[in-house]
Amino acid sequence: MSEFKVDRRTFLQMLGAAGATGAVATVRFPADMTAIAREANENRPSELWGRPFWVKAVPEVTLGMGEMTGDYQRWNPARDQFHSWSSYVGEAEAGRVSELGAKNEATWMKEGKPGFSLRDIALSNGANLVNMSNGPYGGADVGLQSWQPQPWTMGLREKAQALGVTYDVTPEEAARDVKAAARLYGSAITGITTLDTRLVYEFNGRGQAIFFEDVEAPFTDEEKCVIPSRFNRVVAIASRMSPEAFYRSPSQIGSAAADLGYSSMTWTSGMVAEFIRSLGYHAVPLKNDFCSTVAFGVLAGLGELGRTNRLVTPEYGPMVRLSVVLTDMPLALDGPIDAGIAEFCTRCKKCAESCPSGALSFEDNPSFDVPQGYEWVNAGHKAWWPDQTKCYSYWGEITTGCGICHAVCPWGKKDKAWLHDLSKTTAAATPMFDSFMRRMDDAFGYGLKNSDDEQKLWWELDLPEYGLDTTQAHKRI
Amino acid sequence: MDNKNWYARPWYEWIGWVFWLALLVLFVQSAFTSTYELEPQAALISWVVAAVLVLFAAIIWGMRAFRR
Repeated sequence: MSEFKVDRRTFLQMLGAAGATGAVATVRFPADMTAIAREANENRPSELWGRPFWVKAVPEVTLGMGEMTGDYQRWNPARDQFHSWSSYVGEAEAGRVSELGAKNEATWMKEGKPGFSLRDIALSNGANLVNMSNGPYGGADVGLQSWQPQPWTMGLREKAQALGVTYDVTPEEAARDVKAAARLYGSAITGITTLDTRLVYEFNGRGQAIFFEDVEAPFTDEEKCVIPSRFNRVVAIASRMSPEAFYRSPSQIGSAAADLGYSSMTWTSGMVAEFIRSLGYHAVPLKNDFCSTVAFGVLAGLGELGRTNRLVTPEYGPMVRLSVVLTDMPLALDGPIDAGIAEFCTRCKKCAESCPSGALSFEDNPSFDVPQGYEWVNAGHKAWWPDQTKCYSYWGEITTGCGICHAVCPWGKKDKAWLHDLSKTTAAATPMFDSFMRRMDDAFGYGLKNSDDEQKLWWELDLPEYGLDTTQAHKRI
Repeated sequence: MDNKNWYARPWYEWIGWVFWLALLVLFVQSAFTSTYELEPQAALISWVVAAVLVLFAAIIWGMRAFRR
């Protein structure tokens, strides 16, 4: 019989969960306690750093969605809806959507339609500045996403070398330091996983081939991007989006929240990479045009894969944007988590019901079977498969990104009401009340605020910086 | 039961009242914070639920007083 130890932290986690969810939770507690105790005994102190007590470490991705079959290939983004939409929907449909989009844009600007007026578009443009400073999609080794140490970093390295000072810590301490730095730079949740090269695309958004080679430092040229094959760690970063702006989706205000998220991804991953380089290692900051940030996020335990085929975090739901830093720095690993999110997705389906284009799957469970003709997704793993062409056509018609599926997600609440904590704690412990909580989510009126009045009201709200309550889910301020 | 020993009731009833108090605190807190979170419908429903809970308690106490 294996030895079963419960330390103080684990005991408090168990006690808290038991108190919050009552007798019902005991249905799943024996297995969960064993899992938590096992993880705690594996000496991985960084694993659940700063996470709610009801988020559990698990050895495998929930609902088997982390398994990749032999069919899984490195992705070529030329196949995605952004690059090949017109070939998927046909020239006639592409023409119709483009014409309608142009007409809508002109009409709404002239009318000053709330959420689509000139000032709303200007809001989105401003939020996109840092993101677009690297060029539209695929900006490798440029600007804030540089792959090389900056001049002041080189100066620090030389000074440290002259003084004989090195960053000599354990991988656990290094992981803690990277996470603390990432939080300062804007990461709401940071996790670390191993670098599975299959999750890095074959080409980036600009068509440069991506190679892993036996080189000292990463570099790019006109045709290719080369990453040292010794790189074996990925720092996954979640940058938050303003909920109050994103609830206005689909509109330019909602789009501004996403754009600001992309800008935040740019500076946060760039700064984390520079922090790592300042300590004497190599680091490559990347956004979602270069690798599957969602897969890395799931494997690093930032959240679980949801019905939208996107990451859903326990703390902020899907209201995050993801970036990563690849590195050769020795860092202690995190692992997948179970907060009951994927299980909740099997019953909730609010995103699929709310999707105006009908792009999201209504299947109860995720599947390895990709629907016929879905060339825009990467087969070889289990997921709920979205029809990205329907989604992107709708974007074209309304002249901006949509985001309704994220805005309506019951996990994307603010956290001041204790009812929300109780609901999430219960969902993490048992799926028994998932359907009831979904109905309560509807009854309480959470989700979209995209009426004309709400769009206009946004400009009157006295919101905090970046439209975010940065104390959400954190214990200290 | 007279007014002097109003607390003399079975232990399981006290558990019921503790549960009632916890629910009341939960929904009153939700009512205040939902306003703060810009969720007016959630705030309204929370106030209504809290009011129903108070009404329920008032009816129980009223029935007890009438019986006396």
